[in-house]
Amino acid sequence: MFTKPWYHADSYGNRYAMVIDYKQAKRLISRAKNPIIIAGELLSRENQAVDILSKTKYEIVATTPKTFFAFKDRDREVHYESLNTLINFLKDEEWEGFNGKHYDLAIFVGIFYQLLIQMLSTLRNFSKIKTFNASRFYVSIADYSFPNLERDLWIEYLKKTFL
Amino acid sequence: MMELDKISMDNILVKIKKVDTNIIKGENITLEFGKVREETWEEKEGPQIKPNVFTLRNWDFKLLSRYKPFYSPLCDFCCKCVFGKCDLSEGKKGACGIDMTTQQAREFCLHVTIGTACHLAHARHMVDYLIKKLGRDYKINLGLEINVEAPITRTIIGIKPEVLGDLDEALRYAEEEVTNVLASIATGQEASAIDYESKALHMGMIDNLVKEIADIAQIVGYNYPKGDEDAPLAEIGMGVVDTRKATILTIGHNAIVGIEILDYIDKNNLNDKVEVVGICCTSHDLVRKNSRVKIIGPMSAQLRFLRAGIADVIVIDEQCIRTDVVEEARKRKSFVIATSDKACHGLEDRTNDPADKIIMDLISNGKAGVLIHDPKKAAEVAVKLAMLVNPLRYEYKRLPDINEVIEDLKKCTKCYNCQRNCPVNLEIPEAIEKAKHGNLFELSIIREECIACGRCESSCPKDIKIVTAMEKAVEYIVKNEKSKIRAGRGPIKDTEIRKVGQPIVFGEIPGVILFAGCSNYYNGTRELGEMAEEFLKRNYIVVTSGCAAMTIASYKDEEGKSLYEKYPGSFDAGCLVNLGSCVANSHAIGAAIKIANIFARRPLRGNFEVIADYILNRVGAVAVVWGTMSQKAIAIATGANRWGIPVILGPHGAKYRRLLLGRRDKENDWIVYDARTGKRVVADPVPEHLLVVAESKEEAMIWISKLVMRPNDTSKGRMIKVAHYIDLYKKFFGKLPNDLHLYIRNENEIPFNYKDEILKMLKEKGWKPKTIPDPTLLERNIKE
Ligand code: SF4
Ligand code: SF4
Ligand code: SF4
Repeated sequence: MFTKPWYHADSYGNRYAMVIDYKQAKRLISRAKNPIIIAGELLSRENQAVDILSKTKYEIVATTPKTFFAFKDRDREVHYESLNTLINFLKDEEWEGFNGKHYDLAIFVGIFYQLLIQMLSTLRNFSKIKTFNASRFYVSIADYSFPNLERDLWIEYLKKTFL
Repeated sequence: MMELDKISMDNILVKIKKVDTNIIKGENITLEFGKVREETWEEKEGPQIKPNVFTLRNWDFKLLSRYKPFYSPLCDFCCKCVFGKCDLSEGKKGACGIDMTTQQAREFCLHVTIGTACHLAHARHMVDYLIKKLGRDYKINLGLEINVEAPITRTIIGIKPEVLGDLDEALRYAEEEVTNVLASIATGQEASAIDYESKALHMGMIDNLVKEIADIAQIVGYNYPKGDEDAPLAEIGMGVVDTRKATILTIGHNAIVGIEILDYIDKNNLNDKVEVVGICCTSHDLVRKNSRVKIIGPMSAQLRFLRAGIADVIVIDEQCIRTDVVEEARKRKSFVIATSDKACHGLEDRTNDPADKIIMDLISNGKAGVLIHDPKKAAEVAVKLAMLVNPLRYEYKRLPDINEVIEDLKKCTKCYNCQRNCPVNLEIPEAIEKAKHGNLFELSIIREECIACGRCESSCPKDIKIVTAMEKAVEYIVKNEKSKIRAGRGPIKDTEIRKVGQPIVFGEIPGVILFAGCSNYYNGTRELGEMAEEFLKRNYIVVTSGCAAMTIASYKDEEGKSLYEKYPGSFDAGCLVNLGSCVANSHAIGAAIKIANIFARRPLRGNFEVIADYILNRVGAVAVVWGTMSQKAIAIATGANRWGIPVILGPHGAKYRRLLLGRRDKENDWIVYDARTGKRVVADPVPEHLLVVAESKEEAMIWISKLVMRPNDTSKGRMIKVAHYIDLYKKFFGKLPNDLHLYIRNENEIPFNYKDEILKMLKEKGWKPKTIPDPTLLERNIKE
């Protein structure tokens, strides 16, 4: 599957994230040894998406207070770490994570895409961790990404991937 | 009798026809002396006068070993020379041998150097102009309450500048340093990331220096407020203009031409006929000269105000001017006068022609503007031209009719190009869909987050005027958009430092926060005002400048009062200080230096390291650059970093490619000397980062409360700082921060309100009390 990055100025080079659908995404996550979902500020504006993710079995870290609260409201335990500090931890293979093990797959959702792209760029260039962009908009610099999706379809993708 | 090693001579040329003595014989001998001045500063010279790239490298390495560079490449390629373009991804090297890490450091260094060059060229122009106008010996006098007139210059250059001519000497040093670092960025020069980092920090420090010079020159040369906490309030907002008058809009950062315009208007008694308004820092500085001038707003107001067509004449000087200003002006039949060598905008140079001839030609030949690099002539042309064309431009001084706007929007095919080029990903096509049927509400909502960059329009295949449509949606609101801003007061007074120095260093005033930088916000303008007010209420000292100061002014309470009307302008707890334009934010760093000097008696002269070490370990200052856009913003931030002041960037700041992050979980990164014993001890991990990006306003506020902590805080001071951290954290998360145990060194630092809860948490974490060192990174600070 080929798709153009959502943001027209998103052109990092010759490497393009592999476009995956929910089936492939589900497989990717279930094969990972220690995946983590990184939930950014913009997720707090997406009620349906928070509903879905609060029911997933995977570990979640919220990167802003509002998103943390969105999960808390749904009685879902999540960690908090600021995005920049978190990415700095993730790129260090010795960092033990929130659960005592290093993560091998970072799943991004709800991060302002210009910031997301930069954080993905750090991980792609300076770490071994695999990245999956589960946002509505395709970005090229992740290892894997959903395609550009209408909001309703994206919600379907999230459901089928994470539940 | 004078001692020759204590005097110098200024531009003295001695020509000797013939000399015939026991010691020397000869004919036609020329002796030239650099400068003459009696030494009046008794402070002993330190080891770092006019530091070059080598001098402070060790200091930088110390900082960088704790705060490691965090790189985020903007792309995989380097296209800096024609040996390339080179793909540096996946461990590949460029044709010159450079790797991805070093290339990022190089790019970052280039950004900082460009920003520094902007402020330096501005300072050079200002100093040369004022020297020509007032003379080299024109006194620098900032009033009785400011003895330490130029703390950055004193520290770096090692002089106490007394006359304008002294500033020239300081600029020559800066020019040499910028040239050297710029040269190092060429292909085949510097090869190490850490050295590029050190050079970037060097440039940042030079940036701070030249800003101080530019601002001091204009304060004395134009008699701006000299640290006046009661500087007058001025009007600000898109709705401040008296549209009946001829309107001159100034855009940029250099007030020389603007001040000539004000003088021309005064001399010719034209105040009731001509309105002078401004966008960006020039208007800050014009308000410092004359509070009658009105400010339209920060850079994000530019395209909107041009579209409104109110300006008859637009005078541009330098920096932060839209590149399409002439094209936009032409659409509304406004005229542009370019005045600076930095921004000629392709306009015809008419500097040597008579003013009236230039005006007549402009009106008759249909050209959109001219270049006039003689400030007096530019001023005369601007005023006369504005008065002449004002009555003729009536039909252009308004937005298009609503039906015209809706017809334009009906061309939309929902191709999404606009949204896919919008830096904030605003859902423009959806808003247009509703507006097509006459409901412009959604457009008015997205305008709140729009930074008016115009990218949506230029990517629209149907050429729809999206920005104009958004302005139409809020036309009525904008007409009444007025607020108040305090004119920039310039430096912090020595008397104020005497009062607050101790409470800041002991931590009883929880911190000094500088809000600076551009207006490239990702979530609207309100956030800056909300952050400022939160910390004003908490008794922090809030300092601001540039576009940030303007944005803060737009935040009003229910009674319509701005924060400048509600909070005093002193440098004191719970006060809001507008320093002025971007160059004036050097006084925030100046204030931190003055605390080291006036309160703690640390010598300045040639002692950069000692002062920076003091600030890093003791002065709880932090800067927030929320709307990052220009290279200048990162130059400012990098300078602050070298002095030991942490900076929080808004989300766009990640695109500068490099941040400086500490690791609170790595104890060994926080080892300092205890100056009392000389032992190396582990201090608490504060401040955690030197340059960090925050994703949201709330996160930034948490960072502010943490990054003002210093290892030297007294227990009482730390308790106050920790209390604010906990309070904000509880407000946002409803629980205690997970890392709280790292910042409490003994039980006296536990805020009373949460004592039991915290004690329980500390027990769970296995917390043990720590001694508070007399912290320093410098071996030479160890007391014998
Ligand atoms: S500077 Fe080096 S990496 Fe960049 S284009 Fe030239 S050869 Fe390639
Ligand atoms: S780019 Fe133009 S045509 Fe396409 S969706 Fe946006 S406004 Fe409509
Ligand atoms: S002008 Fe506003 S809506 Fe258009 S691209 Fe820029 S930020 Fe987006």
